Amino acid sequence: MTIQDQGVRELPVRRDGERLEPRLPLEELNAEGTLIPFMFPNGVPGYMTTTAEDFRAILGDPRFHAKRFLGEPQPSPVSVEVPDMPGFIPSMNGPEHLAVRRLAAGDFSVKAVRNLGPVIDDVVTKYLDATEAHGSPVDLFESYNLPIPSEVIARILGVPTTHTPEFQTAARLTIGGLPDELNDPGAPARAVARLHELLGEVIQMKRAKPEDDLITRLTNATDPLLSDEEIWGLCTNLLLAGHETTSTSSAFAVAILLSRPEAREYFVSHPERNDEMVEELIRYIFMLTDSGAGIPRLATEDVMYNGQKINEGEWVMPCVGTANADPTVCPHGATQLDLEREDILGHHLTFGFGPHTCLGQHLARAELKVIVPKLFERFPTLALTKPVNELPWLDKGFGYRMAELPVAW
Amino acid sequence: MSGPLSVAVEYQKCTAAGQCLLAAPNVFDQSADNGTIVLLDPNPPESERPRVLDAIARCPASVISLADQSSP
Repeated sequence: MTIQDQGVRELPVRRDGERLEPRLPLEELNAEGTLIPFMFPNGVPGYMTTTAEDFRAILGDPRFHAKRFLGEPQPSPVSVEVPDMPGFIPSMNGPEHLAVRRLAAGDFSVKAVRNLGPVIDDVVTKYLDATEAHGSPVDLFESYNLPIPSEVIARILGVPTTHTPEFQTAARLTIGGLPDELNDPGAPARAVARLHELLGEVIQMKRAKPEDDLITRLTNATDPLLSDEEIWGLCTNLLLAGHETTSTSSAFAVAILLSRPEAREYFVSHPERNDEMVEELIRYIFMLTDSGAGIPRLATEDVMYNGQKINEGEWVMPCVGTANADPTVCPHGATQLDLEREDILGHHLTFGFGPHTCLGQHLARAELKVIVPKLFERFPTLALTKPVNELPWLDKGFGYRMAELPVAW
Repeated sequence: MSGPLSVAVEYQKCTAAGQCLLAAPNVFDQSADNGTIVLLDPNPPESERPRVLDAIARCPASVISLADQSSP
């Protein structure tokens, strides 16, 4: 029996109404408590996990491989195709994956990220100043949310300031760009090619003149040795992984606080709970996407899982949304945002599970903990100029976001 | 019977996610080099038990195990 024989359902995505609430019936799906065969919008079937236990089990099972851009189920009707790259760790598995991942992991450890505090403060202040200098009204996504994560990653990698603006432009275009750039379907692939050239230049510079940065460390790696192509792929991977997710999440956090006066009042008056409040925002925001924000896994052999047979070559979508709505993760009102929630640190599954668990999670947290509160400190009268449900929205699943965030103060 | 805990780690599975250090900073650290687990104290006191169990629950690669060092 294949997945197709099981009566594959369409994803029950709510297509209208409130944008800042979950668009899948997460609690109902979670209560089904099993892997559900769904037809994804790009016409590929896949089993979706519905509980935190299943989410952890699938992502921790080495018989399921992470594979990107191999015809996997995707949340938008038009599949996003990016050519695979050497050194791209979301496509690697087993010991080879761990060995390459560890080459970069030291720069994203808890303590390394603590040491980045001044860099994050510096970059955030730069874009607060630029936003203020632009003046009200402004598209906050363009002036603030979008550029910060790519500049922080540029600093970690060691991209010289001469190359940083173009690096950030390419980063922006890999996710489709700003509203006036979104109509060019070839732009993301060209941006990836431009990143290849830019990073290739930087890699040569670091080989000639080593510095204290990640690209230099990657050029010096011996176990395994990395080719320039692999360093490029790994750096592109780190940029793509940390850029769209963090910029989009910070825009969601701001949009949520601007459209919920009580949550905003609580947020700005409880700075001592910043860690917990940001953690709750991270948990909640990843329940809002159509697909549950998972990265699909491919069965590399026939697997019996809880009485269900998953055939070799079939896909499983680990669903962050249903996992974060699981009562074992969040016992009360899981599909609601609750900034007063206690005991939230480290107990949601937004950053995944298993060997591919988000490498940049400590960096993402550290950035969001500065980006969101500093914005409200600088602009206490900040307000949306358009209701959030009337913004232009991009339904791209993992990259589900508003195309702009128009604000005034 | 309570006694010092016995903590073991399977280094080769470690994916350097840093959850152990957040959960039980007296027992675990991350290598500055490659982010992987460093076992600071293989026999921590009983008072560390809840934090070690939290580290076990949070570790995404099931690297950590705990056995009680009690006499039979």
